Amino acid sequence: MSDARRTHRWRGVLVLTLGAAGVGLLAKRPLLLMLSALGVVYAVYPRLSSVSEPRLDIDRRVSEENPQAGTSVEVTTTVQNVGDRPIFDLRVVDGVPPALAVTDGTPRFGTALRPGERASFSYTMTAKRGRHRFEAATAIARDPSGGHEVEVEVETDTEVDCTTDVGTAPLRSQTLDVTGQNPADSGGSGTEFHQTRAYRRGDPVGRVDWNRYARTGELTTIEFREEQTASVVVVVDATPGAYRGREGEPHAVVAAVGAAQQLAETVLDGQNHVGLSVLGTDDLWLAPSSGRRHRLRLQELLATHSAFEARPPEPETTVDVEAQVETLLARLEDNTQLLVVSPLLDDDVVEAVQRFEAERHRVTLVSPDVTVSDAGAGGRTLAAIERDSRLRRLRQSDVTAVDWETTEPLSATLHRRTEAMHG
Amino acid sequence: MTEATDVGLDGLGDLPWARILLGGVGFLVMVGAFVTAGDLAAGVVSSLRAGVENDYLLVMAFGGVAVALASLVFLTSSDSVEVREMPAVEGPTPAPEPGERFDERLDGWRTVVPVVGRDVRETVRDRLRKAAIRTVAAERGWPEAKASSAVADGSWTDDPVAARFLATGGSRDTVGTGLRALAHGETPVRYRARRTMAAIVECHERTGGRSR
Repeated sequence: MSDARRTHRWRGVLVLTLGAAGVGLLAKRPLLLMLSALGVVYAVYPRLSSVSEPRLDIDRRVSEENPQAGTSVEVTTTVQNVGDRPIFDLRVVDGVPPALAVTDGTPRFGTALRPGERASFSYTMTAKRGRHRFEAATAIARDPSGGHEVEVEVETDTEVDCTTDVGTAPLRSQTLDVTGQNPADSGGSGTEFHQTRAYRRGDPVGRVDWNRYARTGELTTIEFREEQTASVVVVVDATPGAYRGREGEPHAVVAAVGAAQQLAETVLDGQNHVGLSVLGTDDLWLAPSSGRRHRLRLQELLATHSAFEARPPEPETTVDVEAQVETLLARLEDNTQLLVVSPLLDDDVVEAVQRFEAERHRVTLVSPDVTVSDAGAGGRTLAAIERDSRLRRLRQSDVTAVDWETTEPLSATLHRRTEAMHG
Repeated sequence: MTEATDVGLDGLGDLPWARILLGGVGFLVMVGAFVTAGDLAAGVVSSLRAGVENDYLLVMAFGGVAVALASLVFLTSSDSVEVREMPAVEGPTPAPEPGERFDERLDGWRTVVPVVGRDVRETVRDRLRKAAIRTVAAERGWPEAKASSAVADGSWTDDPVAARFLATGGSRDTVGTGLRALAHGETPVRYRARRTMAAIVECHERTGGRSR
């Protein structure tokens, strides 16, 4: 980005110069008139000077790329002038991830750099749960007079991943007719025991239950639970109403994007097809697929797509969720199930989930809880009660809904749920 | 990494030495003008003096123009220093807490204005009514239609203020409610909404609270 402009910093000098000249003439004071000549130099110099857009390279190092939540992460940023002109006045503000807070030092830096010269600055921030990508650093260069300035943004990929492997994703039983790792309801050639049935001509000899034959003389065949591939679209709720969070904590969209990434990767690890979509201010559609390139594309979209912008939209921003749901339904193929990640702070998402279910797409909802129950009967308590009602309504509609308290890792919530399901 | 683009004095962007040379020449011309001002300006000044026939008036005119220009620049430049503000990145991007906007709306001045505030008051009531219906339905295991009737006729709670606030046709404040609100230092709408929220919370607690 290049957007150079005059700062008009020296206009005050022009006023003084003209004033001194005028008063000098009117009051017949040669000294004032001479003084105005000096002012002319200051007023004209910024007109003759200029600034060129700086060519900068930024290298950012973090002390820990996978820190525990609550631990300190030291960031060292090095700025290098890779252009062939000196930068007389350079101000840099590092692109601290929007959900994180700087606790020590400062991400601001001012310096002058000769061509090829570099300078570093360090600061410390506290890690919070989720995946946090650094934004572009903002740099402003000024000419020696400060009369012109140009602002540039310098990108460099840096991420702090404060999540843990979720282990298993809470998928439903809707699968494709392709072998994978999801247990299906039918018997077949998997590894988990499903049932025994009467032997049929052509059954493999290895599948015959010889123990039973020895005991009863009855020839039976063991069937294992068939394992199939699931086609899953992860849908992130990034509607304006989802940009809510507890004081000093990342808001729900940051939590949802982090959870979506963990879940998508876990589902991909199970040889499933995974796609990505969003309910929010921008459209996003990545058709379900698998493979390394697809995984990288998915990671890149979650990290950089404008729909997942960490800065909350303007308060008056509205989104037509109903229309987005219809668009998504038109894109979905049969037997595609949905993994919706939403804080459930709005009825629209509940209606969207019910609409997906009505169109025979099984939905699993993972809901980061960012509500606050204050002591009094205020709006915050009301929001928590409303969210509870929405969860209850979804569960009554047989939707699998996982209530994730964001102060603990998602993996812990899913592990507890799995243990509860298996007694 | 960024791309180089030269900006500044139009047409001389790629010639930094030309700019410096131009500035140097300008400076020398100015110095020269001061040194030889008497000789150079003699002709012009003589003709001006002859035309105006008053030295002091001429000087006054020049001085007046300079002061007028200074005033003009001053008046048009009072807020024109345009230095970019650097982004504030030290803290997390602030996002409101869930329910915070509802509290702000309830505390806002619009709720007390008779006609202008009607929409805001109705929005508050509608949201509370929906929450009450769902909570009552969950607490008593009723269908929402039955819970809706209970909220409409006020039988859902023992609190008369909350019952009347959400009841059909109960939007208007009574004198007694207004006085009680005044005694609590609240607006009537805030007082009634707070009592209603307390009734909803009480009802919700009977459902066993959170449904994890």
